[in-house]
Amino acid sequence: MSEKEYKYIETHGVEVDDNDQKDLDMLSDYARKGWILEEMHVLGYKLVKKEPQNLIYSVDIEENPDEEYFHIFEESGWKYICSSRHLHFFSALEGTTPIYTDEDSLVGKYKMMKDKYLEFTKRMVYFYLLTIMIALFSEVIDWFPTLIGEICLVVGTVSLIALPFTFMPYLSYRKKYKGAIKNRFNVY
Amino acid sequence: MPRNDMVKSGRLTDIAFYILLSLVKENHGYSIMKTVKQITNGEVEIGPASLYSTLKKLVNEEMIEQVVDQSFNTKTYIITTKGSETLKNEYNRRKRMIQHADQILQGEDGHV
Repeated sequence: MSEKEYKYIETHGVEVDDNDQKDLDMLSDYARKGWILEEMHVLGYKLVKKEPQNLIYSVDIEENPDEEYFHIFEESGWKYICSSRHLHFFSALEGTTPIYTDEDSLVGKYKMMKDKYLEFTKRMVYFYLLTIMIALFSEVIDWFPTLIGEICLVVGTVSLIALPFTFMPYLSYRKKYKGAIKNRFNVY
Repeated sequence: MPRNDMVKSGRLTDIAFYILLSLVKENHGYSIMKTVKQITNGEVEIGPASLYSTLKKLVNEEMIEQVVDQSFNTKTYIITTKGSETLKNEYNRRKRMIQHADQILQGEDGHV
């Protein structure tokens, strides 16, 4: 048995701006050179060396995929590769019917993701404000333990660092949502 | 406000219209795609992501329901009474639109 050859490549960030398409195109380019997507890893993709192939890649958003979901993709020529949270990667031969053929389904998906990330963002902002208020409180009120105030300040600041990870996807899904609505009306 | 829900307005999107048509008789996943491609002579193709999310929407709106059938490992669906009525209304609405267009377009020299 011969050793498998692997290559690791970085993602542009699937849920930021139009980087999903950049990633998918990049994966197609690699497939033409014989590097085929095998799975995701923390910062990107793990590719395995095989025969060069002309493959197209797609990523779909689905929160609770069931057996039927993967079955429908498989039967229509889209091979399931791997998932990362609600993102699922598929590959197919060039010329396969795209996974989305109507704008309405996309509008629904983007709206769902936009609302979800907005909710996450709101919660983080509220949490941050709460920690800041407790920190202020501990400064002003004598009997309040200052240690709790200090802990809140640290935890709050750390939570701010995580904010872009919910806010950036929110902005990009909002942009895609508006784009999909515009496309839908162009049809008529 | 944009129209987010294809069903509440009583109108059907093209894809929902075709999926309902293909579920007048019980049908499942990939076979729905093939049916739609067949009846439209390849003019309308449905991708798997569009099919899956539209099926879920139609089930939520009680326009279609799952058929209890153990012989398939894929889910089989059939149109409900509510689905049939909506399909019929949509059929009539679209037919009237064609008639309206005919009054203008066919009046002049007999062809479009």
